[in-house]
Amino acid sequence: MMLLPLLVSLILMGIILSSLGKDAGAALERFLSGALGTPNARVDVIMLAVPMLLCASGLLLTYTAGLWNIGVEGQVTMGAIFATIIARSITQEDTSPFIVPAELLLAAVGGALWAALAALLRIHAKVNEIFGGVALNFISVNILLWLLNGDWKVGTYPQTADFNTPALLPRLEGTRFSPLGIGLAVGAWLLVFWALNHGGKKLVIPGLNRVPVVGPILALGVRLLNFLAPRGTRWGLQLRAIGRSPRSASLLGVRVNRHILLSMIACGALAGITGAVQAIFVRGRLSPGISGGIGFMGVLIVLLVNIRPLWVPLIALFFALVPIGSLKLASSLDPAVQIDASLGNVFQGVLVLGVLLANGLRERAARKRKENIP
Amino acid sequence: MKLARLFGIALVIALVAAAFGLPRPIQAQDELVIGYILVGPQNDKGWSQAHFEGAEYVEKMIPGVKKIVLDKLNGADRPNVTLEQVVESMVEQGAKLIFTTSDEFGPDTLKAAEKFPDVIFIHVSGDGVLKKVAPPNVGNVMGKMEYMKQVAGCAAALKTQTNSIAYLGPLINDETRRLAASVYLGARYCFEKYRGGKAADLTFEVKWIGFWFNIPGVTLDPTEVANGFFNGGADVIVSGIDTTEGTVVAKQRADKGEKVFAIPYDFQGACEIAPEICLGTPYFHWGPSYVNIVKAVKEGTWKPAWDWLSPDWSDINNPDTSNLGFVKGAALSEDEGKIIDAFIAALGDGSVNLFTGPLNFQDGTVYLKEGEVATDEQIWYLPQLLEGMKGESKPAN
Repeated sequence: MMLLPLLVSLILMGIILSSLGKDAGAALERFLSGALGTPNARVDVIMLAVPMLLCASGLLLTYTAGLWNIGVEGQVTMGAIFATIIARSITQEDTSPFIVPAELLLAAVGGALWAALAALLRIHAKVNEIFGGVALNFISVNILLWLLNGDWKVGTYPQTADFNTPALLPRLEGTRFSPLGIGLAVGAWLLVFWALNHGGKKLVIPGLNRVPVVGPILALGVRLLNFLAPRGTRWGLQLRAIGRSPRSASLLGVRVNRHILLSMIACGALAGITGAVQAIFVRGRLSPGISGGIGFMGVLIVLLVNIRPLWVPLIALFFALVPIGSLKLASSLDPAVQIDASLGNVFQGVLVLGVLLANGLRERAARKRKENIP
Repeated sequence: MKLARLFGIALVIALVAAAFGLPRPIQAQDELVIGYILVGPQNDKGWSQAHFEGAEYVEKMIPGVKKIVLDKLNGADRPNVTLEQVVESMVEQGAKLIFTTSDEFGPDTLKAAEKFPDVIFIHVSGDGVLKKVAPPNVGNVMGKMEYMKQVAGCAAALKTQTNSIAYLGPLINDETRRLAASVYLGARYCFEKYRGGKAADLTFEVKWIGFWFNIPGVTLDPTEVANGFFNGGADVIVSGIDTTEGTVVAKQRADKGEKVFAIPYDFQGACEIAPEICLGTPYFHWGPSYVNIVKAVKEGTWKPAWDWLSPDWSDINNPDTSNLGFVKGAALSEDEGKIIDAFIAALGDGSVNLFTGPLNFQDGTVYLKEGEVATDEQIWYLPQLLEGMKGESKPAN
């Protein structure tokens, strides 16, 4: 699925790097050793995959129903804003165990409301969710800036003060590792996987047990998935039917509008939690551009895996490698591999285009084959 | 699907191999690795480039020094990267000294310094040491740009025909207030002394864009603000932001036949993009002060300090001794150039000190009484713009 595009983009990046007089091989090595060579960097990769996985999990629901939820960026932003309503009032002395859950819950509500708006626009005003989403994205950014330049501003810059520790997603002492964050993301993904995988095929990865350390853990995960997969839900089936053809789904008795609204709300809730993670974990404050492009990243991930839930965590991890690895390249002591981090984004873009292109070509070939059958 | 699985397995194996196997760089004994963290691009022809060239100067002057530069650390360019992560990446590669070269890195620099007590941090333009909130491995350094801004104001006053000068400001804080006020004081002085004008006839307007440089959708667009200044009757723009929009717009208007001028900021070569409308550049030259800090660190004599450095008055443009300077622009006439030289000399020997009373704040309250000379701290923490300046003194909130 991804091997050819990956190779093509690697070769393309190699050409770009060589033309800049950089050592492409050394750069690749520094990229990987930078992003994975130290415990802290590994933690950064995993923790950057957390918001991506959360967001992509939500998007799996809407894309399965054929909804291009481009408004996800705005839903992330609203989630961050709603989480901040609580987070900015928490003092260093507050010890209630409900602070973080309340922030996450409120963020989910914020994201869900914003997504519901886009869904209602589509259902009742016939505004395509793409256009509605783009508009709502703009509005959410302006609400954010209005708050940050107004009542919520602390100090010189348009941002809130740093949140106090009790308001932050708890991390292991002295690290940036947050088991709760990982639990949230993996939990959300498992739920979505279960909801969508109606009658899914069993997954077999041969030889996994022979891979040291990680292998057995992954194998256990695969078993769990195989246990969940065939069970699926009726809802997932209905969403898929809507995604194939809303008209036929409706004729079959599926309440299309209701499920459009529900899937958007569910996605918005997860996007909202993503926003909360951005605010109370990644930045520790509310500041401009709080979504960090995670929403769009989620869209890319879901398109890249062709809306198949199984591959989402792996791709999220891979996407999280790119910013961390490119940061290590950009801040490299060896000038031969000092590369502007924006090249990492170029790589990612080329990769996504390549995969989409390969998908398109494959579908076209499949159609041709079908037409040729008499 | 088969390919996909193969790819998945290959990726997992690659990740595991990379995580456990790859070698780390080894460092020579007498080598000093220095990290520089910049807020903007290292080629912005402004604030960040001046730091980048300071880093190159250090590398040239002191053998056995290696640099790691990370530029564009801001929410727009690197939305999911924190200063802590950058510092960590530098320390992993052996950095023992790290310059964080922007005001807003302040709080994060202090946190990083607590986390890495064996690494020395220099927070440029900050005051953590002065305020006694910094751990002992943090120093501050800044140049007394106020002098050079006064010179810039003087050049603007010599040139304006509409008696209206505009100041393109970044965001509002102590530093930007005192620099804007310095431009005004220089302009007022030269307007009265050399143009025979009255202070009341000089219009001086400040507009703040909201950050050190343009971030679309977040700040005001400096190009629009600059055009607005000229449309409103100003004919000289003095820039206080990190980047060159003020100069670019002035050139565009001049190309269309308007008689307008600009004074860029921060970077020695900033006039080069439009010499014909450039009255000069007040600029930082971080090399000499950086070299002093690096030498002290190498020799083990470094002590935390809040350094607010003056230019080398014997030759403010000497690249090896002066920490800041003023390049006269090609648009100044020979006579105007002589006035500027005389003004610089007067600032240098102390015969002119524009931060001398009577001076009032913008709201009419007294800043300095008759004959009172401002202390360093009174200037550093200037709480308001001065009487006679138009523009906001405090953020809207």
